[in-house]
Amino acid sequence: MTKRLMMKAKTLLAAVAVFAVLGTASAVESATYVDYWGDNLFLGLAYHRFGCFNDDAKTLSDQDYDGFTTNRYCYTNAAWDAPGAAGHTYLDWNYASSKSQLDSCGTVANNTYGTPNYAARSNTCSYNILTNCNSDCWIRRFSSCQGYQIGIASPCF
Amino acid sequence: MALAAAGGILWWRTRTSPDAAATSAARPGSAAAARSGELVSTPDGTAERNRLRARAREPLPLPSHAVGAKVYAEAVAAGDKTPGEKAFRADADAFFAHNLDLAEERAAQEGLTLDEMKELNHLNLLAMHIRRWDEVAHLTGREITAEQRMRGDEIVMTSSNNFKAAIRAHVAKGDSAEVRGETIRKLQAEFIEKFKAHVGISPEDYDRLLAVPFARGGN
Repeated sequence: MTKRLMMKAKTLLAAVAVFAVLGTASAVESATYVDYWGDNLFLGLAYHRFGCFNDDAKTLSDQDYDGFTTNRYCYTNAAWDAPGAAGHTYLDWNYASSKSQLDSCGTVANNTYGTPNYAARSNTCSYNILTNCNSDCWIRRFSSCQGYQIGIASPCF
Repeated sequence: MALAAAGGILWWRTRTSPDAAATSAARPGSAAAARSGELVSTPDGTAERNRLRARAREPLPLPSHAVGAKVYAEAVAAGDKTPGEKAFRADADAFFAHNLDLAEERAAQEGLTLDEMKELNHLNLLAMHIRRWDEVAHLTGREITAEQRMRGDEIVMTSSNNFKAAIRAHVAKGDSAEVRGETIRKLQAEFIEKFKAHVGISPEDYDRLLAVPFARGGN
C-alpha cells in the first residue's frame, strides 16, 4: 500500500515537472511581436512607416499601427513577413505583450498627433514632412510608448 | 505509463521547437538583448528579425534646406517662372546625394539605374509634400474639404502602389531603362495632373506650394 502511494506520488511529481517544462516551452513559443516596415512611396528613399502585430508565424490583427494614412498594410492570418512579400522594407521590431498594449500606445500617438482612430489627417497640427506633424513622428511616439523607439528620418521639431 | 506519455509529449515539443528550454534560459526576455545579437542561434523569430534589421538602412535627413533656399532665391532673382519647382528638385537631389550609398543599394535591389532612383526619390518627396492640405487651402484660397483631403490621400497612395507595380513589372520582364523611363515620365505626369485637377490648383499656386519650405528661409 505504502509502495503504491509512493509510486503515485512519484508519478505525480514527474507529471508536475513535465508540465512546468511544457509551460516554459509554451511561453517561448507564444512570443508576440510588433514588426515595423517601410512603404517607400514611388520607390524613393523616404518611408511611410507602419507596424503589424504577430506571433512570429501569423499576423494577429488587421490593425495598422501608423498615422497619417488610411492605406492598409496588416491583415489577420497573413504571414508575419507578408509586408516584405508585398515589397515593403523591414525596419525594426520589438516584443509586444498583447494587442491591447499596442492599441494603448496607438491611442497615445493618436492623442499626441490629433489622429483619432489612426486618421489620415491631424485635427491639431498641419501635416509637414519637415517638422513635427507626420507619420514618422507618429510612429516614433508609438514605438517609444511601446518600449523601444525606432529610428526615423523626420526631425520632429 | 504517465511518464511514458509525458516523455512522448516532451519529445514532440522538443521536435516542434528545438532547444526550447535552452532558449528560455538564454533569452532574458529583453528585446534589446536579442537585438544585440546575443541570441543569433535562437529558434524563435529574433534571429530572422535581426538578420532583416541588419539589412535595413535609414535615409539621413538633410541638416538644412539651404540648397533649396539658395536655388529658390536665385530663380526668383532671375525671374524664373517656376522657382518653387526648381528649388524642390534641388532640395530632393541634395537629399539624394546626402544618401548616395543607400540610393545605390536601393537601385541595385530594384534593378534600376541611379538616375532612375534620383527621379523616383524626387517623386517620393513630392508625393509627401503635396499632402499639405492646409497649405493647399491657403494658397488656393479655398477650403479643401475632409472628403477632398481623403480622396487626395487616396490618389497619392494608389498612384504610388500602381507606379511601384508597373516599374517592378518592367524590371521583372527585363525591359530596358529607356522603356522604364517612358513609364516613369508618363505615370509621374499623370499623377501630378490628377493631383492638380483634384484640388483645382493653378500652375502658379502649385509652384508656390513647392516653394513653401524654401521661401521661408530654408528650414
